[in-house]
Amino acid sequence: MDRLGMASSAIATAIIWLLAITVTYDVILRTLAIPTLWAAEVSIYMMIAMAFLGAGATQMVDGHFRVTFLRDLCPAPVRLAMDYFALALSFAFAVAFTYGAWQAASFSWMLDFRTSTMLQVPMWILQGLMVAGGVLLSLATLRDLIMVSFHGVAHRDRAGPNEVV
Amino acid sequence: MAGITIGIIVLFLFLLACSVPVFVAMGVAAVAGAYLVGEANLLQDAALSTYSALNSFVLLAVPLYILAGTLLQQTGLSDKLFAFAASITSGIRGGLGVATVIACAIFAAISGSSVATAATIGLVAIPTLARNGYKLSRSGALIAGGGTLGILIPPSIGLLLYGVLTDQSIGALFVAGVVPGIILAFVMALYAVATNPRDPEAEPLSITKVMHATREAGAVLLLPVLIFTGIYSGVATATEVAALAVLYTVIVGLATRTLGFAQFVEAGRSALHASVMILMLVAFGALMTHFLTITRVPQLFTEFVAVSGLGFFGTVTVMVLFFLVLGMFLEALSMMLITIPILYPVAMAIGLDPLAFGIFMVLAIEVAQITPPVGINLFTVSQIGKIPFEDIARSIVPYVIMMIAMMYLVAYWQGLATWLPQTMDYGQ
Repeated sequence: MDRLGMASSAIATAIIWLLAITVTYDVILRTLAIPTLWAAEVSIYMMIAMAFLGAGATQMVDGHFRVTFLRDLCPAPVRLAMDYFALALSFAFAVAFTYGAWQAASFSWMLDFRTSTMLQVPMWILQGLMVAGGVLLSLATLRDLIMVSFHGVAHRDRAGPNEVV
Repeated sequence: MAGITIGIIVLFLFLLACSVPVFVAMGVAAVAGAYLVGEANLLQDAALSTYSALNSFVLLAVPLYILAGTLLQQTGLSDKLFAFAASITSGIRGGLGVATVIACAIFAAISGSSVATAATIGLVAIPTLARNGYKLSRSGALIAGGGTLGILIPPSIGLLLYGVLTDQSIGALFVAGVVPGIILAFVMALYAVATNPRDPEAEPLSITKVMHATREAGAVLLLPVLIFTGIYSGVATATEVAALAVLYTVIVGLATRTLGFAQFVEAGRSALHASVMILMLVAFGALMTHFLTITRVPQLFTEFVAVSGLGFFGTVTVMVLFFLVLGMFLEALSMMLITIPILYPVAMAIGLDPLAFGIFMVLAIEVAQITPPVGINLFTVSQIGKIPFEDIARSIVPYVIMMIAMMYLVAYWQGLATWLPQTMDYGQ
């Protein structure tokens, strides 16, 4: 699971760089009066891919924001119960989301839905990214659940929420 | 319907209190709410809504600005930035304090992030301030407060998301943040002058030293100018400017030999985690917004304000108090994503300009970042400077007051936010 998390993190990190390169390429060509027709659309798809494929990797570093104020005030047994509850709910939610994404992707595959843009990308490919992201998030949450059952409350005590703004 | 809405809001708050990730709490509450109001295809619709929420060209600017910020952090050029700020303020009372505010404002104008600003400038400024006799708690509060300029002075991740959610021009919002940002930085600098002694290590102002420091920090100083000029002139969109900021930072890093392979990898990874965290909040926040919309919560809230007789001052005060209390327990972006669908119609109903309300909201977020118990800037600076949290929490009070005063100023003199955007093409 760790290796899978690291691999998805590497792929999503590569995508963020590709995203920066594609948008910059688009800006430069537009400045030179040779606009690209595909770059803006592909950039959005890359961002969606990065967001979903990186969800599991972000979970592995406890990067999804959560309110820890009340948890930190509680004694260890209550903190452990809260951690189990939060992770079990997150796991169930990730599985349910994956199922919903799978339903959407299957529907799009069956009816051959495509984007209404110039590239006419099959929707199942884009929605498939949500399925893959959902699976990675489910596995990352399951990994955390296992870690908590082995290391107890210390596993989540060490981790800290991430914030950027 | 009202019972369901209240029940779902209580469920959401309960999940937050249990330390469930905010995006999961939003998703679970919204799906449960949709089930209770009788919607079909719950999971499939939820997945499709999250996809639609992210399918936006404007949102591309989020990972790009974050990447520019993390790259700049990796270059380690912030010490040159601080040296530049210190060179132009040397000789004046509390000069290093003023230099800290200036360095925060300039770094903010590149990174768009409060925490990155506080962390980066804090690392450089705290030891220098301590050496010059500044009280640790006061230095920490200065950096935590100054760091919040990161989400007011453009580019700003907070303003970007506000623009996406309310369909406002990102460029106009960025430009709207300039005047309030400069005023707030000026007030913070004045406070630093008034409350701090003359720096013992301070030397008289020297043009030669200023020139030298400007040359050293020139590459970094040019970036905010390019960002602002690009957006203000309309030459490039906020997303395009973000891409160019990444390119510029890479070139500066390579030219100054401060960026190697390891730094590129680290910057990319940090930017990935931060971007994913925000994009997940946006994606699942859309589910919550959908639920609030179908249960007519924003309309009910607006109608309540209309019949309550609170008036402009009363409504603004209620909003300030609402944000103050919410900000004590909720992380800034989550607070923004939850409250915008409810409070935006109220703000429009009492005559607030959309740009001015954007700035008002970002100021509220700034307050949230420096109010205990979950003020993230306080934690960051407390950890960096090894300053007791309780001490820094006491010293931050004047900055909270400054920001709340600024919220009222922006609400009453909306021109502070709307004047500059009106001088550009967006206003026409």
